[in-house]
Amino acid sequence: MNRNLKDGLDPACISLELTAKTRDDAIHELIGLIHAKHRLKNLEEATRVVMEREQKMSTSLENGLAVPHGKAASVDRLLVAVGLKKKGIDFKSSDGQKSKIIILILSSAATSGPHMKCLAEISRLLQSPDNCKKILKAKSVETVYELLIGSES
Amino acid sequence: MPTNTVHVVTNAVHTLAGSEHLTEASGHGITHLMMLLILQLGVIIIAAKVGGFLFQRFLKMPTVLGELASGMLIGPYALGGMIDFPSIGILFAEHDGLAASAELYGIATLASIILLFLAGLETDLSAFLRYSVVGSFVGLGGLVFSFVLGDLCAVLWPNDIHSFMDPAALFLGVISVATSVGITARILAEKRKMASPEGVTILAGAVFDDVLGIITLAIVMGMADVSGTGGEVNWGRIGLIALKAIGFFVVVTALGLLFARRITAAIKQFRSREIMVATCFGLALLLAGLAEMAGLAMIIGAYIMGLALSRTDLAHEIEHHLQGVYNIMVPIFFCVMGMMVDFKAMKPVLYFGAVYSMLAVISKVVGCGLPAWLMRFNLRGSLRIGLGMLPRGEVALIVAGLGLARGVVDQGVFGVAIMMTVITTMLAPPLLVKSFERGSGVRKALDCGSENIETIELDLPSHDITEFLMQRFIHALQQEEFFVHNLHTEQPTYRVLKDDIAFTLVQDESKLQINVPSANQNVARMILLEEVLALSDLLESTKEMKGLDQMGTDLVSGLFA
Repeated sequence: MNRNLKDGLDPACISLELTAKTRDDAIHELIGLIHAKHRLKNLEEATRVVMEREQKMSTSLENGLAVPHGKAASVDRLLVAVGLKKKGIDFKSSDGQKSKIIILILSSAATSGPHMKCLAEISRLLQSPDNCKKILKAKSVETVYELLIGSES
Repeated sequence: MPTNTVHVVTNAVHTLAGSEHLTEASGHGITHLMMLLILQLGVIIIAAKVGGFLFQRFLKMPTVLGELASGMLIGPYALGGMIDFPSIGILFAEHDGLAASAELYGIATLASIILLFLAGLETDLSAFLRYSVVGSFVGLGGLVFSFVLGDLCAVLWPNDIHSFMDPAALFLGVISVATSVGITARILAEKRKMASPEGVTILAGAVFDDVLGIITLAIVMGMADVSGTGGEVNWGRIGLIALKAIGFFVVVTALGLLFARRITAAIKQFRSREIMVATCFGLALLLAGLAEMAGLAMIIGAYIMGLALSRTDLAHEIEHHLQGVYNIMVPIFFCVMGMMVDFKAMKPVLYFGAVYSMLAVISKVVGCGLPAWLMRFNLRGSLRIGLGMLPRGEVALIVAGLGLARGVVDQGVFGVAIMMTVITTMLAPPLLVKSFERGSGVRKALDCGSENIETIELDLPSHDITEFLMQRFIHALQQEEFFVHNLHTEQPTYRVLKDDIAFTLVQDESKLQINVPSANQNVARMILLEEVLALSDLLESTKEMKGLDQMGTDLVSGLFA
């Protein structure tokens, strides 16, 4: 059970196929999903922190996963959006692989929180190529949600 | 329950004897009694600590031996019984064949409960499960050999013990079972052999030895009660008692492990660490009492509670907070045990003690070495393992004390137990060091000790930056509600815990090392990465710092006139 991920992720913030073709567009699109659901106080700031973090160093991980993330003052709790892209998006990973599962995490800059724990849950879950394949093959938002939240981690 | 009645009676006799003694001596009532106790404790603590220090510093021996020796010196059978203080009387007088008064013995009992509670807490149950194969055979081999040889030694010796099931023989068996791996661990660490196949096997074997030793003790306590009352050995009842003891252990430990997380989650509601720790200790005392009520020993209950909590993230917190209490209380226990050694009673059993001690050495070397040899070690490696498992210590003393208090063993046998503990503990270090002098101890190259622990290493430009990053990293971990514990070793080392995530942080000069099980390595990598990024941001921003003059004139003004 990925408790932190569950707290932050709403099925409405899951996209089975992103329209974006570039990294920056994907980040905008995912933050857009969060904004549509949760009405961010400062959309600009939220986008900026994630972009800044991404520019410092790529957040792509193994198995075609990328976890753009950032802490913003205007965000008051953990918010997560998930986007799949079958063809992959170039997240400038060190191994040159394209990212197919993109999970964006926003959290509060003010309080200590579940930011890292959520990242940890994601990385642990998607360390197994099997789990990644299952998510990419999912036909519905609900399936992706279930797979990510999981009863087992 | 017969034990309880016996206990109640002994206690009653003690109190009675105590109060008689006191009314005769002064007639000041409980105040005088307490004054005597406090004076005794003062003398004991100072003597034990000084003795421990001397042994450790000058003889390079474990402090336990020094504490024992101080006890022997100040006890009623040596100095303590000779010096008669004006208006106090003899400070350490014998009470009904016991060297300690009921009050003092009570404090020593509390100390033994603290000791076993912490021993349970420190048990690495995951290692217990991970190395179940080699560790269990080494632990079990040592246990069976030492129990049988210890028991048989008493039976075959020309004395009044003639049956294997005689309570005294059973106790002599149990006393020789429990390995005290502390001194071995120290030597392994000094020789950098902790992660060697032998080191890992010894430590895993010791965990088994602990757990199985406690179960054996539980069974023997029950058997001693039964076979002690009647002349004939009633196997049916003994089987039942063994079943009951194992049942109690397994059921309570399983329940404990199952509910430990929930219990600690509830306890964490207090938010204050002091309250959390104290509550857990209270629970340990309750379970200790419960175990005694179930016909087992109190230390067994305390150990189980420790074991149950050992898997929670509170374990280190409790250990850390109880350390101070431990440092003061536990030496009292060993000192009191030393005080109980009656040299006159030991004289006739000196030869017996020598043979018993020798068998205690042989039984561990053979009992632990043989399974090791059969599994994957060569003779050299097997010998190292046997020698590593050799030292007996705390638990042997506690069991001996229990036997004496229950009247199962007499002063002489108690002395023999102490003698065996001292001999095995003194013999192990030099032999172990010598045994590690030459080559490998395994028959073929084996990937032992690599329980998939990965090392993440970060080489930074300077010692200062590493230290700074380490502190920030620790702070970030604490922000994420990890428990971070300084292990107070020469190299700054921290243990990081959160639920089932655990890793170790080491600062080696300008290097930052993280030893982490591969399952958790991404977590550690990620948090570290974020911190390194934040650090480089921070360093970048220092470039924007204005000159000292512009930052604030009061800083430099008047300094360099």
